[in-house]
Amino acid sequence: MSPPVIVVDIADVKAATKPAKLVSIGLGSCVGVALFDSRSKVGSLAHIMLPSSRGLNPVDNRAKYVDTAIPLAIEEMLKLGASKSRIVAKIAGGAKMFSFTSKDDYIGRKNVLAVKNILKKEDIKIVAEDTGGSVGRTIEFDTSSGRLLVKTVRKGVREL
Amino acid sequence: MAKQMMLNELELDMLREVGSIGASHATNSLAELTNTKVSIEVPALEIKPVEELLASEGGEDLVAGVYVELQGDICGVIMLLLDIASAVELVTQITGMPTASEELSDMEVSVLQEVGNIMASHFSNALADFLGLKIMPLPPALAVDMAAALLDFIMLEQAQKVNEAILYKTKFMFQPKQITGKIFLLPDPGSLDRIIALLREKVGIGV
Repeated sequence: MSPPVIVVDIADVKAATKPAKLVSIGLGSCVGVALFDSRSKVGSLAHIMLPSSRGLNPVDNRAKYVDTAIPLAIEEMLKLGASKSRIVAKIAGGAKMFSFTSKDDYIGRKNVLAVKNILKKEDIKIVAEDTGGSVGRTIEFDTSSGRLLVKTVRKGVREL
Repeated sequence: MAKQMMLNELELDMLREVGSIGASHATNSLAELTNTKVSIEVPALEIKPVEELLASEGGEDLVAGVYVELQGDICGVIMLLLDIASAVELVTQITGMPTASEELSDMEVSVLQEVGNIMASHFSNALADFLGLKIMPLPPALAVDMAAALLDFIMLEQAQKVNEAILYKTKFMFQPKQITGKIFLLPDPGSLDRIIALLREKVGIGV
């Protein structure tokens, strides 16, 4: 039997124990952060919109911002029996879908930089990454293996 | 940073009206260009949290999106979204040459960009005339990819400024060919305030 598919919508975080497939569809500027503890087989996927919740009090939705979504994902995983020190990360997304703009501070890039900052702060290692470019990505995270599939329209499927 | 939009029924009606004027000008321009009849659906105005707009409009379908940024008295974005089959059919109708595949050639890309450009200019000109403002569309950009990915790009820029975005959309259909598309207008928050103030003046509610 194939594992249940759990869709992680935009501005959402889902955590699961094995076996499950956590899926986020059509990441453009958004960034997907897959966290995994390979021993307890607890995984989480966050489909994050914006780099920072700074200035928001209260925060409308913790899953929406990098600086709140990643701690939320960790909390959810710990509840399911993960151990913080074993968690590693794979990240995908943060594209610039329209390549006309020359400015480098496009939101996809800001999202990816923010993710790297927060993961560093949380002492979580990024073991694989497929970010940037001008391509939409659908990602599928398998919490029994920790594999992250990145599907694109033109370049097919890449496994992280 | 977080700002909620509070609009009453009358203001919403007025905004819908403004959008209709823009959309009918835009689709008429396309009808002239292709020498066909175009019908448009009753336009919809949605004011929702950005993530909800994205969840309802997104999806994995392959689409061609033309993105035009507006500057001047009103800032914002106009986006034309065509499913890939419609995009290919539209190019065929305009150039008179059948296209080989879903992979668009450089020439076909520029045809679609031009279509987006013409529609966006007519849309923004109609808005500018109606409101008595100057609006300048910037050169168009085109991308072919998943609908959700194209839309999150344009909407996230807005999401940085407000929790809720206003999305004006209409769907158009060409006869007899099955070409369907959507046109979106997303004004920046400050520009939306300005539009509303001008509309209030117009109907004599005072500012």
